[in-house]
Amino acid sequence: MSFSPSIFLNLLIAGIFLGGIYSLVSIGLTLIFGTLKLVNFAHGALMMVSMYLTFWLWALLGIDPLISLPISFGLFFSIGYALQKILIMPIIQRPVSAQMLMTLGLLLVIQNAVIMLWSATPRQVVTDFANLIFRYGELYINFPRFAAFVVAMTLSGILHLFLTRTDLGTAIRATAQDSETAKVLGIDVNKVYALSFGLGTACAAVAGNLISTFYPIDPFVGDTFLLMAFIAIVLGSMGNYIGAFIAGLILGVVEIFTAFVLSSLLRQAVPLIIFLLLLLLKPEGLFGGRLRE
Amino acid sequence: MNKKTIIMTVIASILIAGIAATAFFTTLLQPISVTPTVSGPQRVSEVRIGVLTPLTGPAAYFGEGQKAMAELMAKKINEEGGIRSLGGAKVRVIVADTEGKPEVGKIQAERLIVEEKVHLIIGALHSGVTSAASIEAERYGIPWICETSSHPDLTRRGFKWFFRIWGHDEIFAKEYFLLLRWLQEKTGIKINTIAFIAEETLFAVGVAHAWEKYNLDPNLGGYKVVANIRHPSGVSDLTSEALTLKAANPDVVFMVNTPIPDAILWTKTLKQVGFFPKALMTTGGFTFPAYLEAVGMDGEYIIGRGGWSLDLTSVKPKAKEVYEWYTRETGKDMHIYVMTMHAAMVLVRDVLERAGSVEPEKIRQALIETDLSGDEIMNPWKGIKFDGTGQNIYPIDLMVQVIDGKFRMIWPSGFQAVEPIFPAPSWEERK
Amino acid sequence: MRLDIKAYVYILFFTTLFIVPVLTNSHLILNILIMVFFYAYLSLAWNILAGFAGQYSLGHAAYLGIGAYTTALLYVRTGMIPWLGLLVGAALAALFALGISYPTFRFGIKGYYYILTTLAVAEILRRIFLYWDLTGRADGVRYPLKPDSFLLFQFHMDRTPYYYIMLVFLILILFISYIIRNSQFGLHLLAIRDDEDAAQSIRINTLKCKLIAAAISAALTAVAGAFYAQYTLFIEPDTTMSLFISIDILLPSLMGGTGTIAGPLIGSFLLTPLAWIFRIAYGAEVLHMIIRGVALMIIVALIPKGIAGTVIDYYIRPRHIKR
Repeated sequence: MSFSPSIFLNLLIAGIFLGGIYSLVSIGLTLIFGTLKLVNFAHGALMMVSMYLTFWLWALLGIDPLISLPISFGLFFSIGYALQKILIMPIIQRPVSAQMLMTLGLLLVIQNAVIMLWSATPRQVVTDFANLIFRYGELYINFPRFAAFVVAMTLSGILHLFLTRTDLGTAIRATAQDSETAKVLGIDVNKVYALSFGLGTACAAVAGNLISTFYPIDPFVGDTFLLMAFIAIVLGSMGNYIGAFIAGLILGVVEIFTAFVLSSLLRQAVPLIIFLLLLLLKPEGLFGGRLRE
Repeated sequence: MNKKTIIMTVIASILIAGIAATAFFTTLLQPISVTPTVSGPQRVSEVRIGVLTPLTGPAAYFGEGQKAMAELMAKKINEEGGIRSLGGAKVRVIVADTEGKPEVGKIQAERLIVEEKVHLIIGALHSGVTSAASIEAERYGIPWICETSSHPDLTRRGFKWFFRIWGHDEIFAKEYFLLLRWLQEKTGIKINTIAFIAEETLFAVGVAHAWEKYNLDPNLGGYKVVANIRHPSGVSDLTSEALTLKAANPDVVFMVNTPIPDAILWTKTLKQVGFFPKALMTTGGFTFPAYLEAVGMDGEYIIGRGGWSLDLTSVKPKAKEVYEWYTRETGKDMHIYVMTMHAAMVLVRDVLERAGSVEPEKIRQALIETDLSGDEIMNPWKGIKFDGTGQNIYPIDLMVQVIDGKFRMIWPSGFQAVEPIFPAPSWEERK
Repeated sequence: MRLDIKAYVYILFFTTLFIVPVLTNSHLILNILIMVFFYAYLSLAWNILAGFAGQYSLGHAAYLGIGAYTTALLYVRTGMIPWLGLLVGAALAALFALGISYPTFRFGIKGYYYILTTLAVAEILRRIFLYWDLTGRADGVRYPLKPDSFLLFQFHMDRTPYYYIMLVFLILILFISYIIRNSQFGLHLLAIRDDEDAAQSIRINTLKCKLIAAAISAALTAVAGAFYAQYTLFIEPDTTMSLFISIDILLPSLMGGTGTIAGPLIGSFLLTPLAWIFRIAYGAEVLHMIIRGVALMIIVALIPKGIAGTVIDYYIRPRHIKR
């Protein structure tokens, strides 16, 4: 494959933009993991539901996806919060594998409920901006993807500020680091758990909202993103949201370049193999952090 | 080991030996259950037709239309007096969901045959499902009418009970090259390079193989293959693949992509990277109304087969009649699978009338002798007539091109509604 | 001496199952029961690694695939009779399991890391089979149809031979489970499950035990894979090796009680017919999948030990203690 500079740059841009979405989804997943030590299998499905919500808001009420962003965030924050309280809280004492299975059950329910309600016909949001492309010579920048990337980065930045500059954010980080000590220090750990789940779900929801401008919507769309998010959170060290952020970007670039340089068929296989090697050899990921059970 | 364990083990060994012996001898004995056979003259009040199609899963959109058409046709036949040669017997359609999975299709087929006692089966859209499920029909001796699965091997298995009214991928693949040659002759523009793109699924790969094969024939193809891309189904981003294509810069691209989301993504990505060949000829999701709604004007100039086009109604009276009737009664989209289901039901009625019986062997004979006129069906075929392998010799598929936001028929010549646009303008030129 | 009442129940239960084909001609019932046995068997195989040794694998579909593909390919390409191919498949699966499990266990992967690892492995293998010419890529492997033959493991007119074969497999794996459970090896596994560090401290070779459990589990699963190939006579990666198959394998154990022997059996007898009732009555898989999801959630929350597990905890164990 010959690699002219423009091809290289185009691939890089595409990879970063794709990675930006992976980052957002992964941050959400790792937030949940950090505090609850739980891998949420339903994460991708929730993102998918958010895409459907965005679609219906657009189709029935004519609301542009970027405008319905706050709705996605707020609504799914509440949904995540509620889910944690209703489903996870009661079994918080159980081994983590039990909690994971709970989220697995949730995945089955959500995905199939969507199929039942709205069938598997793919939907597409078509906005005026959907086909806007900026060109600079041989380079092109696809506006919807660019906008998605910018928003994703902004949200990650805001999240970072929230987690480091506010009391609540610090409480979350403290709980993630050591929940026992956090309890002793007077932090309402249960509330933190629910908040984290809500926040994580909201991130996934926003990601879903963003990609519905350029990505077809069907009940299975969350599956691929979930898989990449799994890989990203391990790569970026589980619980480390900055790590997840960087890992998401890396994965996006890796996937795009793999598809071009090697073969499109390997585009998911290579990240998966990286995933496997990571789990075996360096489960702490790129950024250290303790290896916990 | 204590006494209890020893005794348990001894009992266990005896049990195992006994079980093994029983199993072994049972399988060698004549089967106890008797296969249901129908023989002798019957008074028939009802003919049962099994329909296998995906009603859930990613292909549900296609299956819904098929179910609607099958049931609608049954209603129509009954309103017109049922099957006259069977004393006005009513037709009942029993639809079963395959979920797009071979093992489910197989068990559903068996259920339809044994429990529901259908006399005929129509199905099953996915070639993989049809392949597995039609084995059941062959075992039990029940006629199977395949109206949508296009894998060539299906009629090469030496089956007696399998009949396909639809064409198979090799027939259709050839059409692409014929069309390409015709386009070149018309416009005087010569094509040198070609690229094949297919998703990695049973159907798509089969089509791509057929294209590669025909391209080797210098009379048909003989173009230089500059890119041969396979990609997973349902990817999140096609930039790399589109850039590979752009770098190879083929004159013509043959693409096969079944899921509509993939077709949409390809269209958008090609626009992004700013590449469009002189002709983009496709199979799969590109020729469905849902696709066009999603891509709007970006879908212009794309050529596809498996088309339903409204133009058909101006060329073929029967098509117009059925289209209006179907749309009126159900309000659903017309698409190619609905058309073929209609043809299948027309065939069923014809066969039953000629057979004058629901005995499988008589139905099979009637099928073999079929010579249905193309005027009876919507499809642009001369008719339905089966060769020695159970394959209809007449199917051709329409090639449509998206012009002004509609699917317009451009080929074959008897069905050309407008002049095709070749070469297609590049993205730049479209502004 | 008296036999445990459990033994009598089993004998009665299975004798009844043996007579079923004599009592009914319904292919539907036979088909459903074959599937019940199939999933009970698979769940029991999974149970050996997960229930006894405590290693929850979400990637058992990989072994199913290895078993199915090996048998199918050996028959279609070399004409090897499936019964032999079955053994080869089991051996390959065991080797594969050892190959993957050795680094995994050696590096101390546990808990959810283990779950994710098994998931990743299964997904990678599925993709390999999907893109590899040897395994037929997306086409999968299709069997040429031959007349009914025990040797060739193909039956067409009648479901009964498949029924008995799967039933025998089921009974065999029940015995294997029982023997493992009551052996020294089994005790070690349980010790590992309950507290691996403690087990190590009393000098149980946890690595070796876990590896053996993984290999046995994989080999047994592969045998079921071979059965599946001979039953459907057409296999492809998506239907044989997906994540949802792995979920289907563990659900009966979860419902019935991981770590028990009756558990997976009960679980499959409850779950599998339910699936088919839904398919037939409502013509749609979706509602059933939702119910399955809900069932999974309820089981995890309310009866984490499964039906058999809870029964043992509340009824059987207290009675033993009282004595």
